[in-house]
Amino acid sequence: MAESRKAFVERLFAHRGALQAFFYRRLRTKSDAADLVQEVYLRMLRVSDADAILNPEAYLFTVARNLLTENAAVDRRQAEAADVGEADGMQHLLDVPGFDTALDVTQRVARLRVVLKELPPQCCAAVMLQYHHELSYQEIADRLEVSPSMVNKYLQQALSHCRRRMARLR
Amino acid sequence: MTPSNEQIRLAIAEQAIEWFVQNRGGPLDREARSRFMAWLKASPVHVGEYLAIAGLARDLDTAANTTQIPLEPLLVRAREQAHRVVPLEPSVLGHAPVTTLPRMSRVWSLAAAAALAFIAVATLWLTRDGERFGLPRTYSTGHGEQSVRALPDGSVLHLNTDSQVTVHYSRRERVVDLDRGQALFQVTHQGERGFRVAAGNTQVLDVGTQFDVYRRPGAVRVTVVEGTVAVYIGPPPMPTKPLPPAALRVGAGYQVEVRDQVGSPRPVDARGVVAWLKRQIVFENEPLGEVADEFNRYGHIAIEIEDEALRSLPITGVFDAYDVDSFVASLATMKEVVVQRTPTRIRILSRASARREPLSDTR
Repeated sequence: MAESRKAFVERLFAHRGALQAFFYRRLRTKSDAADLVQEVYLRMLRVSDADAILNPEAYLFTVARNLLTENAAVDRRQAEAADVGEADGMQHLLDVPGFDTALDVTQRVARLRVVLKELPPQCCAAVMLQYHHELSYQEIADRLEVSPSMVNKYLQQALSHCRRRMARLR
Repeated sequence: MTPSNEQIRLAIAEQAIEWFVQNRGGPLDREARSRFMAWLKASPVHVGEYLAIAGLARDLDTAANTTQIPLEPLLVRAREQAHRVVPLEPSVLGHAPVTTLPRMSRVWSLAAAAALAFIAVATLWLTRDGERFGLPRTYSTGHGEQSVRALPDGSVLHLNTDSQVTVHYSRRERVVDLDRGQALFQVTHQGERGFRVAAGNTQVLDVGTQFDVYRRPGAVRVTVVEGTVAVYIGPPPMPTKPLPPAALRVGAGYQVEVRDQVGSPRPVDARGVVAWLKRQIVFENEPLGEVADEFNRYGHIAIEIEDEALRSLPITGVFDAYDVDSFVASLATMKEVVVQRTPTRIRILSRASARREPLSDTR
């Protein structure tokens, strides 16, 4: 029992989810990525007046992006070949793999194209309308003749399915 | 029953997905914003999963924009599925099921059932502690364990190795007894309802903040990461009375050591103090004796320092708390020190005494 709890703690803390993989391509080593996870988290902890942040998500992305930039700056100072590009906004940051560090972006996207077609039609349609046709949740709801909260649910199911299918590739 | 790591990670990923989809839908209202922040601040795993989902969505966006799926037929099938009503109790209603679900849907409903099972497990996991107000609850970690828990009021408790707390919540006050060990508290502010940590007779009163309390025999160390706390030695404060005049206010980035009395605050790198969250231990010119004690809190092979004089040797460095080997390896590079190692013992000797006394493992 003690061993399995220890293993649990170890996994929870040592693996620290997919963010390590998330950062992995931008950094040279896994331990750099692990440090960044902790650094992002600690900076989020330091926010004392949470109400002052109007968009916590944008704040989170900014923290992560700034850390990548700082890291890049340190690497440049050390005149080493860092695999870190210019951090030019959220889109750039999000252009980083979610899971499999062995797959490059082309392979991941190809895989997701297949996964997309496996989705139940209402989930697939919600994804296409959101990403391809750039409709709002209300507009998607109108097209599918359901409530916006159902749209919310379809999109969650879609991401959840994609995450499982991509995680299995690890 | 403890759910497996994978189930926990999936449950966290599901929460991350829920927040991510909600964020894409438009700005969160004030209440949702603060719940989202609290969720992010609860664990580095949450932050990690959230960013990972954002990365996945980015790839999905690219996939959706580089694929050909004719929209109109898709919409027709989607509406059909969305409006298919599956009778829950056909026998009760006296109807046979209208349609047999097509194969894909069956697979999906299996997936949905699995997802529900995960949510059930997650809910079980989150509420397993039956956090009812008024009932004291004990949380503890064994040797080499750590844990993170949300308390009933939304405050977060990080428990380090070999630690135990007892939580008593009443309508008037939230009290956590630190029975032993070390804990970091991220406190949710609740107006009049204070938050107090008692480590023996050392009282630490929160004024809306994050702080770390480390209780050792004969000493309590309080480190404030954010905000301010009041520290004093004595009985719990009376609800309507002001704090005792001796209560010391300690601000962010300061640490006090409480022995027979409350020491004076000294500035510290709070990052070093909370480094145990990632199982790293940070030393800055700390005596080898204390460094070894610190490792012995985590490790299974105790480090023994044979030479009194060596105990004061200053050590600086960042180490993985569970990686005694690399710590011992770096010790062995110091010229004053000799490390003698067997499968059951790690002895640290000064070079001079090592020459006199060969290693024996048969004590």
